[in-house]
Amino acid sequence: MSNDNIINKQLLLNHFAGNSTPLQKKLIEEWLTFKENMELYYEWLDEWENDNAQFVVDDKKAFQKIFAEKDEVKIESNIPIRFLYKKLAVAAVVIFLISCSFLLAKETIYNKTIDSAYGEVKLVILPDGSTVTLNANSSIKYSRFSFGDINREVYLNGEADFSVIHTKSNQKFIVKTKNKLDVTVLGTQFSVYSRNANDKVVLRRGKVSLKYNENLIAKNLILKPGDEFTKNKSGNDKVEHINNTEKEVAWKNHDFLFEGTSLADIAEMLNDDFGVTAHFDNESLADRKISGSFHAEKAEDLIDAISQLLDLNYKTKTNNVYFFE
Amino acid sequence: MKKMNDLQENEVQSTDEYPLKRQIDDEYEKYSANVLDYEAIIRNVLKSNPEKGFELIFRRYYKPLCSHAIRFVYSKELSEDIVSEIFTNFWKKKHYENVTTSFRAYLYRSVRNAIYNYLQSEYGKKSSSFAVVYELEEKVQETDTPHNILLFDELSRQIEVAVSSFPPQCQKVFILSRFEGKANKEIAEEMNIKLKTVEAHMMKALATLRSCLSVYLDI
Repeated sequence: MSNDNIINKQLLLNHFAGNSTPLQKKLIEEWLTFKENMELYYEWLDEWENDNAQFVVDDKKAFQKIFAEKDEVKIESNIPIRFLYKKLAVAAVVIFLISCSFLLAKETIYNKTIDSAYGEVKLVILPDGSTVTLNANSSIKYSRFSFGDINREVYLNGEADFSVIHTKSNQKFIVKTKNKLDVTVLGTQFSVYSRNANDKVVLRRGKVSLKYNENLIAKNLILKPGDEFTKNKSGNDKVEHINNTEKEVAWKNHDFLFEGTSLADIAEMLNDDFGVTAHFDNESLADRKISGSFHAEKAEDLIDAISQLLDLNYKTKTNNVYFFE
Repeated sequence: MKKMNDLQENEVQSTDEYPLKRQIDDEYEKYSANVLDYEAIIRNVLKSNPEKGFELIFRRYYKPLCSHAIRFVYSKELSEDIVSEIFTNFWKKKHYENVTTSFRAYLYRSVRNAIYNYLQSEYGKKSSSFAVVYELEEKVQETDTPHNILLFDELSRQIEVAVSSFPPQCQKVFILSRFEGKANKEIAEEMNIKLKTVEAHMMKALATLRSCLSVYLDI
């Protein structure tokens, strides 16, 4: 370490402040090739950051957030619970016990369910002012009376886009699906897709936390804007970052955006969104791919677009369409 | 060595929002002057009581890490998000069991990597996948070469120079928007200027930043 006399703490502190000359930078770079010096580097960097704080940080609040997300099972033991949450937890239990008997007997009165028909895009405004745009053939359900009391919970089957209002009391908004996926938010914009055994969440603004089971293991995940989370039938989950989140909700305008999408997948959408079952003359037709955007308010619109693009003929009969060449 | 044994025998009852007794706090305050020993204490505590150990690490390094992060991302909320995420994974994935260097070095490296990924995805080609951040945490030491360290320091300096060189109004708008996280409308009202002006300032600021960052990122 022949640079001992030149490289000292003061030099590094000056360097962190942006006052090192090119020559000194070169010396530091050479000095850093030794592992002990790297440790020193971080030690002095940490000291410098402590002495030159850029803003006031409430680390207590941050710490609590991490432990709140850490392990919900442990909340009863020695993890610090804010007095308010404890009160709410007790209140929740009491209300649950009281309302249990009512709920079991009178599901339809105490729960509000809103459905959309095939081919219909429906806008729903929740009691707290949050809006939900339901895609075709989807439904949401929430407690008519206690929505917004303790928390805001909705059950979704199908596909919907959410625009959740952030409440002053930081009340969580949770979307639950049949596949036992919980999407928790404070106030943000995101869409959830849950059909058959597949789930997908795309976050546009804000932050959401997900809770779900993958092969019997409980998992927690936090999404950032631009993230797309998918979980399929076999229980495989993954998160991808996508550029254009708006195109994920093109359905709100009755637009369909295809990017090399196979006819088989489109057939599934025809069924999910319009209730029409597609049949193909031969197997290879299902593998044909389509790219482009189509506006389709009725099944006929989409079927027409497909046939024109791929030069196919078709016949319709009640809720079925038969494609052939 | 005597002090370390005392600490391990202490109970975990909380008087305030952190679950450690005040007595322990004082012991650690005294010790934090000697940083290398502090790391040894943490290691010891982690073995017998991971939660307590994690809390010590958090209290010691969360703030300076946030301060470090904000020099690059210029947003209070974002810097805390990035650092919180590092700590959350540190805990959930039990990374603390595999750290061979000091926790300090490990955490600073991880945060710098996360910042780099963020900047890359914000300003660069939008091809980076979320999964990459996690992967890198394991290979953190590999990418932490002297050359990269200096490059990153240089990046920090360049960002500072760039922001300092914004014209006064532009700089004020940028700081209110990014640092404080205020909405454009709020800024327009606060500064008594048109919304369009605010938007124009932001566009200019971000464009300048982008060209400044292009030297260091894959844009």
